[in-house]
Amino acid sequence: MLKSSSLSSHCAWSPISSSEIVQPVEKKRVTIFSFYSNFFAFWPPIHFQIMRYFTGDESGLVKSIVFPAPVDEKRVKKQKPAEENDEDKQKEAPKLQINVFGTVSKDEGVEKMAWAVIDDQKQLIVARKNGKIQFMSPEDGSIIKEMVDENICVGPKKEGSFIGLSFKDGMLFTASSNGQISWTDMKSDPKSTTVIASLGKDLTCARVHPSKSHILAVGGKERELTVYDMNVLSGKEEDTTPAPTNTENSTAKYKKQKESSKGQLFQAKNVKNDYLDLRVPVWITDLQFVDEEANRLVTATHYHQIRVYDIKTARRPVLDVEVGNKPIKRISVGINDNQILYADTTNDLGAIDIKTGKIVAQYKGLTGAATAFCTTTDNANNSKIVVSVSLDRFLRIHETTSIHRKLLNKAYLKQRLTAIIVDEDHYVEEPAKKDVDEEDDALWNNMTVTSSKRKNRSS
Amino acid sequence: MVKTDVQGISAGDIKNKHKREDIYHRQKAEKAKAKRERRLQIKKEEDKNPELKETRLKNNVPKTIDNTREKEDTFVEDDEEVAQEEATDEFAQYFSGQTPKILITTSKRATPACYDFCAEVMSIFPNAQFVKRGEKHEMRKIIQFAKNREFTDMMIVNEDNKTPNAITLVHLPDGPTAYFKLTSITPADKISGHGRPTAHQPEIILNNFNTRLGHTVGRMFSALFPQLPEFEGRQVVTFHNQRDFIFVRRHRYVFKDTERVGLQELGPKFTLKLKWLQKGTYDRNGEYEWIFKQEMETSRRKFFL
Repeated sequence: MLKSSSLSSHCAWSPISSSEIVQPVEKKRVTIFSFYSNFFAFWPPIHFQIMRYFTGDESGLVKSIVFPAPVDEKRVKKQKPAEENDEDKQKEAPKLQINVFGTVSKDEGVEKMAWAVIDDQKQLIVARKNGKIQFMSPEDGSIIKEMVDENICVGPKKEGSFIGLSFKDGMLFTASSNGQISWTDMKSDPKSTTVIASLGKDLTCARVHPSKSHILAVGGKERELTVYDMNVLSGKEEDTTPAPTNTENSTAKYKKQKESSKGQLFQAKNVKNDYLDLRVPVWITDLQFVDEEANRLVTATHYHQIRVYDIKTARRPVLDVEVGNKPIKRISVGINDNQILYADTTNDLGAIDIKTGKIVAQYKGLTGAATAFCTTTDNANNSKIVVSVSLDRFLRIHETTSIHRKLLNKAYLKQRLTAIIVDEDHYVEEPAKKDVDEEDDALWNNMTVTSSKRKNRSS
Repeated sequence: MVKTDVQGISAGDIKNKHKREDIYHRQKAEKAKAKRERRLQIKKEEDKNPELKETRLKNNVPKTIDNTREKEDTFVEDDEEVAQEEATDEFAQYFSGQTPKILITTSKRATPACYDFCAEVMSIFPNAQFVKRGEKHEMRKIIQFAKNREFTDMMIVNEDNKTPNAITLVHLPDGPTAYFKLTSITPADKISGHGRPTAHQPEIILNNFNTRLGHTVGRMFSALFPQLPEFEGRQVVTFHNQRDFIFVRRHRYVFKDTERVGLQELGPKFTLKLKWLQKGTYDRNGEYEWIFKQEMETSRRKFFL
């Protein structure tokens, strides 16, 4: 086989197993360069990386969305009349690919979603309203494993919802709003989660650090930010923090012995009284770890405050700013370590710089409250994009490079969406560019094949 | 004046005012004459051959804002998934037989204008009760009281400067809350030739609620009325959505023969415009499913309902 470096300088393919190849957008198979078919047995398909998004919604459906690659601007041909061009464009307009997994059922609404890597296979974990935790295959939505968290949807009033879900190194972490923290070892193939701690009621969020998965942060209504070490909570390790040496005047010795502070690494202190000397109420709605060493945390409150805590420095927040006048419902890590994204109850989705406390960006275009969002890198041009999912039933992608923060893409998904997760390692077979092929095909077919290449010089 | 041919002359270049006026008016008259003759000719041809008229009308449909409306992604068009979701939404109980029970109240410190409007609104909905708004309880408590007494909907008429200006419609157990701007209220007395409404359950007409948001709002309205209308009352309440304005009218109809209907307007008429739709019952800090902001008005041809 000839090495056609001039022709295929742009394509880079890697061996892909058949289970990973997704049906290409256009089902037509085009015959390529009939002239060159003399030399090649087959033209190898081009694979390129494209983002795949998984959304969960209130009706319990999990949808996978792949946006089509942006179509290159075609040069207007003078010979072809204008109508033909439009028709061609309409036929070729690449369609949005949406796969729906599951059936409509309000009891099985999706609350949280997370990735799990089990036996080198990427699986999607879906935590549902009725306590079910399902491990799904991202390709076809089939349920590989199903478990139950018994602390969710308890009692006649159906109290308890998922406030945290994550998976690392074979351990599944879930947390419920009535304070039950579970850290389950998946090796033993359990049917329900194992509770390691009961941290009290009225929690609104619980997160583990992305790399140090034994560090847990919780916060809630009238529950200040607390950071725990789950190894100590679950009893895997003993409490290694040294006992205070000078015990004459400090009550720390007695505090350490209290049951509720077992495993605590950090307990935040409320800010000083406000200008009327009244206690500032506490209601943390969402929190995030923002650095690698698990030293910095950002919390958002119901009283539209955003606070940054540094565990090693102080118990009171390092930064405390008021943002807008509606409660902030969710925050997420932004395009770099210094930025976080926030969303309130109206259609505001913005970014704040946590060093200065100023709003640096607003992502416009939403008509309803954003329920889940994250930043990710767009492989096509290596830029950061913000993916958001909202109650107005749309998935939106905003670019972050220019000051316009344009809406790149949106998809109507028919349900009130509650969760989003991005699959960055998804490869798709590129359908060969047809326009050039069809023309050249006709050109080559019309040419007569001559026997000799040289013009007969002799008269 | 000498009668000359005025076709090629540009009346604007003539400096003499009398002459200029004369030329201009004659040109205008000639144009009108030519148009009249053309139209007369077309009419003659179409009288002979009515097909020509049909083809002419078909080819010359004028473009209006309504028929050049921007296509919305959220248009509902025979979608099974949307139908399934609607079957299990907050109004599912109503559509499987629950009779509506409506509580009407006002904002605090209402004036007689507001009470008059509330009295008329009470006549529109069978099974509606009015409660005077007191000073003591806040909205959250009132909603809890209504839930305890098994009301299915609550309507709060807001007043500003002695005129009602907004309606908050809360669907109870935990349904959505919609806030409408209320304008152009005409009480029944001011409608000339109006009829007197009776207590029969009316039929409902919901026009033009096309998008998913429109469906939710339309279902909210239909959940205010009992499922089975009493046809002998011949009353109909219409919620007509056009360009995001919802016109609410009430009529009594009578069939004169198989093709013609007579309509007599009853009761108040008013216009509503959706400002926001909140998920769950009315909560100042609840999440909004749809909220109108000025920045959303990107084009004259974009509508949301």
